[in-house]
Amino acid sequence: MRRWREDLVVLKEAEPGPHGYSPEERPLSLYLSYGLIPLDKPSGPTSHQVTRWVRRITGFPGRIGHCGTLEAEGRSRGDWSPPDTAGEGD
Amino acid sequence: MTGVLPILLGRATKVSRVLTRMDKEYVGVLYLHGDFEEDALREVVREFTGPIYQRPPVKSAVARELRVRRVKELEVLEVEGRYALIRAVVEAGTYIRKLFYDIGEVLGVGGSMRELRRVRSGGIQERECVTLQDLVMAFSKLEENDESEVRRVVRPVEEGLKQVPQIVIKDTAVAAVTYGAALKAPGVVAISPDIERGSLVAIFTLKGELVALGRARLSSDGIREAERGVVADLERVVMERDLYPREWGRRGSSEEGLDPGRDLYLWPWVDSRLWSRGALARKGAGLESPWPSRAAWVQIPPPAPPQLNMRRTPAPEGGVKWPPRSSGRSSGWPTLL
Repeated sequence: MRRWREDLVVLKEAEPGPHGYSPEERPLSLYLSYGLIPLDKPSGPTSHQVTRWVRRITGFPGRIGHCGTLEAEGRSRGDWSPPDTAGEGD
Repeated sequence: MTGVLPILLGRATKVSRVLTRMDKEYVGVLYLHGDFEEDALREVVREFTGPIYQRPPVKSAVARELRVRRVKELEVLEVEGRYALIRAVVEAGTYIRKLFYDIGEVLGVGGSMRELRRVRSGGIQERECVTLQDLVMAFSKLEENDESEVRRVVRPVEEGLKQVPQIVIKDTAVAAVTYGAALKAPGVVAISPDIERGSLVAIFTLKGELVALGRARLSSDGIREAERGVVADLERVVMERDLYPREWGRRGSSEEGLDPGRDLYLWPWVDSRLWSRGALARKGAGLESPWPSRAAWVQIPPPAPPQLNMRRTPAPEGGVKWPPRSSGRSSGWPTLL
């Protein structure tokens, strides 16, 4: 039995049968349609834009969605400067 | 804003609501608009730990109503000049920009967020993440028939659900669940110890494939003792139908003889035959259950030949042939109708 968590309590004995695939061994089309991309979002584009890019890169024909929107810009206003020079003028 | 942004493909999008609602961890730079004591900042930060009231900012996607969000961890990592590096573990839906702004207000000097990076989303850590460049490289290798890179950057959706309470079920119960049946006690093989009544559970096969998300009717202890009855209702079915054979209704089948649909797992074929004969205009149309019982689909008469020629096109020579002859390909399977 495949354990995704260490703390699973087995109630009865059972062996996996011939049907289905273990998640890593799915054929590629199935693997992708049960896929999660842990993406490191770059600064600049919005989460939605990044999702569109992923659709273009992967060529995946089905649904694509992201979870948990991250704001687009890392630097909110134009007045940001690195810590060593900041705080002197103001 | 950079950092962890989980992206779901295809059927995996069905778990997006669960992943979205998991806790997030951030590291961000707070710029304070005046000089301050570091101890005072630490004191304010301590006050902001726990449940806080937040009104979503003007630029936000939700209704701007005051709401409570739980800040689970909040600590000052470094202070340099007027900049503070802060780590925060928060409930989903907490606006960090707002939180940082509020910290500045309470400190008395005002402040604003200058940088933010999400370092964890649910169970997905920053170090597991791939960049857009990695994605491009991996998918370009697909043209050389090299899947290994794609399988490295795209992960099975099951990996994102390690924090959710889990139930592992028998192979014979899988099809019933994918067709929408609530999970019953005899199908349960293993459970995680953290299930409570009403909590969300992820239902897995013995091979570790995600079948569905459910809502537990019993706690872990309750499930352990239950011998019959519903254990969990379904919220979302993730796995596609017919990856596992249908096993329901097996009892008492021997005296009725062989049922090709059930015993040989020919349901997709049977359905397509019924469909092509017009016996099912829509799946299960005209039948009292969404799936034709064995008795029903054997007795479905072929549709009546058309009586009226409404289009006024001339009828073919020798009248209408009905039912239409099959294409002549012999499938080798027994004829049902």
